[in-house]
Amino acid sequence: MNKITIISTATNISYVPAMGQEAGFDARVCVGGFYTQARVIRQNRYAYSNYTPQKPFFLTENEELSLALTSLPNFALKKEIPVLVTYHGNGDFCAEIAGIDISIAADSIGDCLKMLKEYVESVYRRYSAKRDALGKGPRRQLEFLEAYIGQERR
Amino acid sequence: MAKLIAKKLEADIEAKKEHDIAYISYNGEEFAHFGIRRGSHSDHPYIPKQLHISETEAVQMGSCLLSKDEYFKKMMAKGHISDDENGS
Repeated sequence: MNKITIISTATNISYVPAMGQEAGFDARVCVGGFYTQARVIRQNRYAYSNYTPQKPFFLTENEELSLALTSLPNFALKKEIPVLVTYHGNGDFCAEIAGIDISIAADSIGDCLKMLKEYVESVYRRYSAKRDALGKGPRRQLEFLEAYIGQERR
Repeated sequence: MAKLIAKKLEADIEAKKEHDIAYISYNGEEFAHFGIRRGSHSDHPYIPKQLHISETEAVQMGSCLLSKDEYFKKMMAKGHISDDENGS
């Protein structure tokens, strides 16, 4: 089975959404749109780390990786949006918001998540404006997204 | 294949930075959407699921084996769209 490296050893991890994690311990960190482990060196509102992960992270074919969208380009989030990433072989990755049929494919996990953010914003904007002209599937998607997405940034 | 399906279903295409999104509607009611990859060798493996059809039917949609009207009839039968013309 092919193993695909989705992270190289990062040296300047700056954003660690593991608030409260104590210095000296490993935390789940977001690097370029996906997660890995890093060592927290300062505890603050956000913890920071320059820890270089010793083990590269692998995703095998048809294996699922649970991630989360922690931000959107133009909207605030009420909470992280859960995302499932799968590798389908031949360099094809899919990112899916599980349960509501919003998914996108790309050549890397980073691209998948970037495009999924655009996709989510597009669906949310469009369906919010067409609330009365939606089928039952889109209505369910809008209800789901409204639980996660907050105000549009100006 | 994704572009062919979008064209066949007369989708409303929204262009994004690195991909397009095809929104499908019937009688003014939106009921499905899917992403279209640009410059890729392969299609989006989730398209059939997002269109509420099987992989075989998606391939048939991309060719001439499944028409737009037949697809909409399938969606009516599955309850994804309503047949307003018949008052249901």
